Amino acid sequence: MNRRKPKSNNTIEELNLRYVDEFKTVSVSPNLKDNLARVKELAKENSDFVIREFQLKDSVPAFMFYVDGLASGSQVDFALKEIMILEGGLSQLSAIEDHVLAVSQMSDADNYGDMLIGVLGGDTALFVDGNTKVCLLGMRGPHTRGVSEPELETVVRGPREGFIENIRTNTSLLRRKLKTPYLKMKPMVVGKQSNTNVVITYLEGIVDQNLVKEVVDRIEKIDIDAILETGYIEEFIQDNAYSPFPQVQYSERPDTVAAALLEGRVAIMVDGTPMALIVPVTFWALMQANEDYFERFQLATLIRWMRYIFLVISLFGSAAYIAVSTYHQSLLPTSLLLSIASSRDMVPFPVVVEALILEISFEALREAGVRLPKAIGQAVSILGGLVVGQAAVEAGIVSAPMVIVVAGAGIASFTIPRYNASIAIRMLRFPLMILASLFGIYGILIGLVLIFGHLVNLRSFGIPYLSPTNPLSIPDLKDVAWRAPWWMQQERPSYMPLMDTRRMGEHLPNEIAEHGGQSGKDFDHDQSEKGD
Amino acid sequence: MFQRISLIFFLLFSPLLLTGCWDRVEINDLAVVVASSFDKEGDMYRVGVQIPLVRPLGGKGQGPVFYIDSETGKTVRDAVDRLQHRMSRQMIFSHRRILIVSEEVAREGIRPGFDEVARLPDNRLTANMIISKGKAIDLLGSSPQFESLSAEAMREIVKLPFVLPVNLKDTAQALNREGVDPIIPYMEVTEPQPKGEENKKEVQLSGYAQFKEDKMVGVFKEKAAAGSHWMRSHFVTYMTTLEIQEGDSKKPITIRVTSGQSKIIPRIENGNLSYDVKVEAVGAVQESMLTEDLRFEKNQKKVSREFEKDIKESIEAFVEQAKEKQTDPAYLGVLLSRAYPKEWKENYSKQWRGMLRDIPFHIEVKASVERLGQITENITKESNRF
Repeated sequence: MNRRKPKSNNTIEELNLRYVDEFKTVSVSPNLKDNLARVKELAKENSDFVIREFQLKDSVPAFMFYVDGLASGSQVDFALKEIMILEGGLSQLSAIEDHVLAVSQMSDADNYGDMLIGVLGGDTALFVDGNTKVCLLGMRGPHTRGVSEPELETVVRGPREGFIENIRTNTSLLRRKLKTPYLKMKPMVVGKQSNTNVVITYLEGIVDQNLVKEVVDRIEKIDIDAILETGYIEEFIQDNAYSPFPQVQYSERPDTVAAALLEGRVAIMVDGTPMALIVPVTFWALMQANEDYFERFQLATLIRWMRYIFLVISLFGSAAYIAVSTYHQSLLPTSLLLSIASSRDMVPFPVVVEALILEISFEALREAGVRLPKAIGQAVSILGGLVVGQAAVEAGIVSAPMVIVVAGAGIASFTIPRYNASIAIRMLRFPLMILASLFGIYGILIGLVLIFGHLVNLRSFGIPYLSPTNPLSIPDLKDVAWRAPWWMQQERPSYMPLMDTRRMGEHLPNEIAEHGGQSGKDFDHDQSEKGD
Repeated sequence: MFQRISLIFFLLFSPLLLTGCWDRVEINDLAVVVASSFDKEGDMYRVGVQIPLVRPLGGKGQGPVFYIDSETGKTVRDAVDRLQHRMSRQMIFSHRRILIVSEEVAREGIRPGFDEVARLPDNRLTANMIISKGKAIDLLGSSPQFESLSAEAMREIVKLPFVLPVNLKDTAQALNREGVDPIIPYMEVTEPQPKGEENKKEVQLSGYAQFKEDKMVGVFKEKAAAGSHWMRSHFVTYMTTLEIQEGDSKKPITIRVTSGQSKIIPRIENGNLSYDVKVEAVGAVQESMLTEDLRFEKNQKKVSREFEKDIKESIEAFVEQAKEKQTDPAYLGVLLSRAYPKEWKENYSKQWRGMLRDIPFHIEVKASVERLGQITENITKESNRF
């Protein structure tokens, strides 16, 4: 970095500054003309920068500087009115702040760096002649869009609000879930060009401070021009950069983030995206949907078991079909073998080629469905259903059982509630299919051993990825092997480093456990009738 | 890190280049043998195989659904190898669930045939062996109407609830063991009545082949076959028709033996071996031609006594036939060796066959007819008229 000692009368061009951060070395000049010249230089070829020059009552020159669209125009006008018609010759900025400006959010900056960060974030800068500081008025403009239902994580039962692109709205949504001052929101700025606001949020008193420190350290190390999405951060902070498995969870739901914070995790919110990152994450947490905790526990347990079955089907379905039909035909019932053989009779390709054709076209259809506008997406699904589903079978290019297996595995992969986890599973299908075609079930087992070997080695911010099954922690299985009812989940997960492990008081859970529910000791309908 | 990973991948995947997927076979290059038959021609074996023909989906052409071919050879595998030379698809035997051995081969001994059965991992010991009356290949070539494959029909028949379950493993164990001889379902080809147009042939279970060691010596039929149900390790339901004296004439009544329990207890007293056979049976009336009302205890008792007699007779028939041919299909020797291991070793095991004939059996049957059916008498009985 070439940080020169700036001279106050140098122009910006002469200073040769590249990033907003570097402007922190340029201090605000007491001479308004210098400031105006610099700001005008900054505003050169910037159509959205607004500089409004005016004079205070006794001809003290001043100007306001803001970015059109970020600051709220009507509020700026209102503030301007207050300053311009103010009585008495106040020319000290601190006096103006104290007596004149009826603006709740206000801060000072004495250098151009802080001033620019504020203005580019939506503040309005007020320069007054003779002051070595500038006042930043927090009159930010309207939010980008309203809070709407998240499209990625939909629920039948549960809140309908999701994060939006504005980080301030997102923090407020989260704050509404956890109304405690111990919900901390640590601000950071990442990206030299984008200067993206990043908020690290956690629940003090539950979270392990070392984890927070680790997260902050890892994010501070990021030196990149811009952060446009949480994915940029994810790839920099994960433990194993090569793993196909996500070691960071993302969510666009305030309730999911709040639940994670309550388990002692840390969330990272990034301005400009409706996603929040959650660290650390375990493999089993990726198999859990927020609705599991809202629905009755029997249903949630059943759904979880189904997900585990579908996880296996999605990973091994096609590979197992290839292995069995090319190596282990004796494993199939005779009639099934014969019907597979008869449907394959016209197919010119080996099973593995057939499977790859279908899997690839399935992935293509899925990708097309995601990427295309919704109206065209429907056309794609009809085309895909007809072409792949029927015409290909009738033309004898693929066989019907193969279509069933691939479609089954595809649908199974969609039951995994986290999109990034389901993609990891889908990717691993392909090497497994190749292994199955070369070695049969033996090959699948080799693949399984490799995958498991990788998973047990994997960590997310120091937490073993397969916790609580490997290493085994039996009390924590109540949220993995099944979804225990809330009154049984008295403790937070023990594999997480925590300051406070208990979720709830002992009295009520014990009473429920003892009586099988709250048994109405004080109000018994039958007895009250008898009393009448 | 990246170099280490690439090295691991290189090491892991380089052996793949050395393989050729030797045992990889596409389903469509397989000929799935579902049944095979063994006949004797001179001193050669004639091995027949039944292979279902795979038709492309939708192509509903008429024509045979299976293919039968046979070839002779010095050994079973020799014949199979010769067969393979005229087949474009590779035969696999892992789906063979029926082995038909002709009576002729069985009478010479089935032990040599078992070598092939257990040597190859393809072969399943859960398959069923069937002894055929006449040529085995004729049974293979029969064309039962219910199933498209005769092998499937035979398999379904030997799996019916009233057939003793005997698979290759049971037979092999019986052959390996002292004090027991195998019995194997015995089937023949019949024609349905009335005859179909295309001269269709059906298969039929007609009893159990009686073996002395590995050589077939006779067939348990009818009464003796029913008796076999009581003298094997576990009870298998069957139906029997009794004739009951009513006035001057005999009237038939059909009873299903729904549950039963039999105990065969060897006993040595003063150096004399005898067997107690204790049977408890429960029957359900299926059809009654009797005019008497079965609700009356007197009539029920009468039927029960006849039922007991019938069971006793069938057991006697079975035992007599076994004794006559000096065979032991009822695990008698095994039971004796368990109860009296010392005596078995010293006195009986060597000359077991010779002694079988003289062993007395005390058969005790307790039978009752408990379920009379939804109605207890014929609904169109004359006395019901009004």
